[in-house]
Amino acid sequence: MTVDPAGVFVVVPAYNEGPAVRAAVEPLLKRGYQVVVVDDGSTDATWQALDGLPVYRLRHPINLGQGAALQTGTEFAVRQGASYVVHFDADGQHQADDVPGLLAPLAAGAADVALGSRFLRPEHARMVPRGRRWLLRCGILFHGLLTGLWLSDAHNGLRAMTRQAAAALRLRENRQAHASEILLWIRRGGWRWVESPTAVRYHAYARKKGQSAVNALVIGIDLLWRRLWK
Amino acid sequence: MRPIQYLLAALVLAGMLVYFARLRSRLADRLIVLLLGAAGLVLVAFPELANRLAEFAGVWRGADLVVYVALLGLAWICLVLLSRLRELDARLTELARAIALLTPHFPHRPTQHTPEALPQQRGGEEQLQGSQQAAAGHGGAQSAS
Repeated sequence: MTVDPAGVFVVVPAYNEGPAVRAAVEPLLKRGYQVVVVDDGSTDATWQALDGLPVYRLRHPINLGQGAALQTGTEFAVRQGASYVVHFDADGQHQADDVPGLLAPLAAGAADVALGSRFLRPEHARMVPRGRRWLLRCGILFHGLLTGLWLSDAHNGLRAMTRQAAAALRLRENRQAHASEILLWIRRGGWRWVESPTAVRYHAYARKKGQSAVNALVIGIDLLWRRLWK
Repeated sequence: MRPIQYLLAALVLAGMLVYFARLRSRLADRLIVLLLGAAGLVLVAFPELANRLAEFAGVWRGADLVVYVALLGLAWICLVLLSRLRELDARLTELARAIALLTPHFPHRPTQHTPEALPQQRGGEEQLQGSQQAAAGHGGAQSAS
């Protein structure tokens, strides 16, 4: 089953991604997707970097975090009539070529949510730095124990979902812990999920902006705190 | 009365004064502060009362009892404040999101998937109006079904 790209809304949360965001969204536009960039209160030229491109731009008046930006963009996409919503990073780590692979199982009716994974193909797994691989293994274990969803990857920001699933998404974790919250949401909502192979490019810019081991700890604390309060 | 009793009583009174003068609060909170302040003053004025209460509770000294109760009270206040902070954070997020959703920008003519959501192109950058965006919330849902 083919997917009409005009019905695919790619949500790109961007916080101070001025140098990278334009190059990240251009390949998406070439594929005919609708692009929604949520400027999460950037203090640099992220907003201006998109001038002239046919992308929807939304702006948080203050910085809230990636999870909040994804929720804003997802709500907007659903309101605009999106058939599918894709979450895509602004730092150039993700590849637009991986999006059709995520959408295919959704279009076939085999799943409601497709999650990107760096570890389904050896050539993708080899791109992950060794130290990062260990951190991700810990993340996989943590998620498995916390959510009961045993995935091959953790905190891979590239994912796609059907309109029905996107309309039901209510992210309350404003910061990085949203990736774990989505897994909890999948399990509790009984959404059918599938993993799809995706490549993540660890170039210098993305590594500088990416998550550190300290961030991973903060995410864990955020999640445990949330569970405590529920 | 010993000097420390004057000092403690003055501190309790000063705390209450600052609370009532500076912090606008709900009636229930004011009552709680009044009761706590009154209890504090009574315990400062009659330390023996704290000792008797402590003995009744199975604690050695009145001062120990006061410290235990104060610690529990502090922990409780911390939890209440943290939950209020989270609540405030959630409301702030809602507000920021509503602002973002009311003011989207799109530089080109809309596609078939954004039927009535976007205004006619007048050239250059346009800002969508809130009312049009609100209409898109309903129209969009219909167009996808």
